[in-house]
Amino acid sequence: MASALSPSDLAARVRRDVERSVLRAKNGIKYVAGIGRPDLGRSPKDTVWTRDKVQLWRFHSEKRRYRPPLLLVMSLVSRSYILDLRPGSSMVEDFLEAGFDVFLLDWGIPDEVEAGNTLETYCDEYLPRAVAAASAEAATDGVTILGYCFGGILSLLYAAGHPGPQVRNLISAATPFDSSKASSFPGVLNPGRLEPEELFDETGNVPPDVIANGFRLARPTAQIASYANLWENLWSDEFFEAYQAVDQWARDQIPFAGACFAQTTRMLSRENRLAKDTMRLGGRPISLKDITCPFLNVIAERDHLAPIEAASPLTSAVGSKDVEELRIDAGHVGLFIGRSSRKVTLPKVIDWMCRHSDEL
Amino acid sequence: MADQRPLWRKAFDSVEQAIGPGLESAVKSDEFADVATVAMRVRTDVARGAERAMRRALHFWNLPAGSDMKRLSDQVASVERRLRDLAKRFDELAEEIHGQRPQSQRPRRSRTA
Repeated sequence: MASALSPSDLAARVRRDVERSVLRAKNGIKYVAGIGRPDLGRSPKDTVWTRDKVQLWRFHSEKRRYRPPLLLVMSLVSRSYILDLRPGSSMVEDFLEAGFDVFLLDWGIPDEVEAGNTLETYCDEYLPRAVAAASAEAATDGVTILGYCFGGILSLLYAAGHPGPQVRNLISAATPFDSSKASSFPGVLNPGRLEPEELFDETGNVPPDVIANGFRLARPTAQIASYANLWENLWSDEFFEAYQAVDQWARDQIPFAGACFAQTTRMLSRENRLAKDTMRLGGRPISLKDITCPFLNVIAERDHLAPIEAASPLTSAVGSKDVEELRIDAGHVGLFIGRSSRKVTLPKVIDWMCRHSDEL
Repeated sequence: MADQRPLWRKAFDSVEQAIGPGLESAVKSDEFADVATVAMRVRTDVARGAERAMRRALHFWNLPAGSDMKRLSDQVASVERRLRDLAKRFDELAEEIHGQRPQSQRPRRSRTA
């Protein structure tokens, strides 16, 4: 049974609730009116290479003390600034602080021109050139690649299809490797139902709202739970600012290049070729056994898009002898964003990277 | 440690825990996939029908319709794709002839943020 409150405790609680209600109203108005949205992805950087809409950024740093440089490879369907969200909550910032030379590959926003982009466009055309450009810019022979989400799949395909010293280390994070266990677009794209082309818009790409709905289906109550979290913590300016940043990013989805989506649906989702080791790119077989560089598989234990059972088999699928699996108590986005990411995920990833890098 | 969550939140969480897993498995079921497939096809057919009717009406008054704009934008995209291919071939040729890094691989420095 709850103990009775003393009059002074009761007064303190009432005062706290009134104060919080005022703060809630203030932040609620800001949220609804879209006022005071944070500036995202603002770490200083240079564009060091471009091809079509793809850009390679190098972040400014005076603390570089490790090589090879780190190349961050983002998914195709979300904006890359999630990796450099805002000061104090930026994965890029933490890697720079740890002494790494950080590059980020931004795929741009596809339109009609990119509708014909395939997995080969990304893995055989853009990635090899971006890796070469990053190596040349940093004056090294290779890079450490960190692929996040679908960026992990692209990095794996690239590293397996282009084996060589240009990839010194490979890190795959929140990567839905075994598609039979992953859960976005549940069932709708299975054979006999929708064909991927039926989801294309007039530009020949899959529109962002379709992608977002596909993700939402994986956890139907997630959105409403997120609003409940917001309401509960709306009084806290710190929480509100962090929420606004992630919310802004989550709403800022981009189209999925049509041809690549069709290929991904058929080869990776339906036929699960990556996990079955029957993948082909540009007519040639691609086997993850050809990846022999040191490999780290970072798994978020509460990830609903790349659950453990979809991500973990990757650890034994690569040909590397130096393989580690890192399991973090986090969700898909929380893996690299937020306080626990700074305290848990990044220190562990940075430790692995330090052990696999040379000091300058 | 005592549970600090407000009452409404406790109620919300227990409802979510009660219906969440059921909803997730319903969404993953074949029946849901069948219904979603039909719904998406109906939506596409309705949109296509409306677009056809609108196009006929606009063309009757000699006005361009969305499909005309799409045709134009497809043509522009196709020209841009051809230009890209040409630029890439020039780069490859330059690399073969001069043994130099193609234009598209040379650092292009511009401050972004």
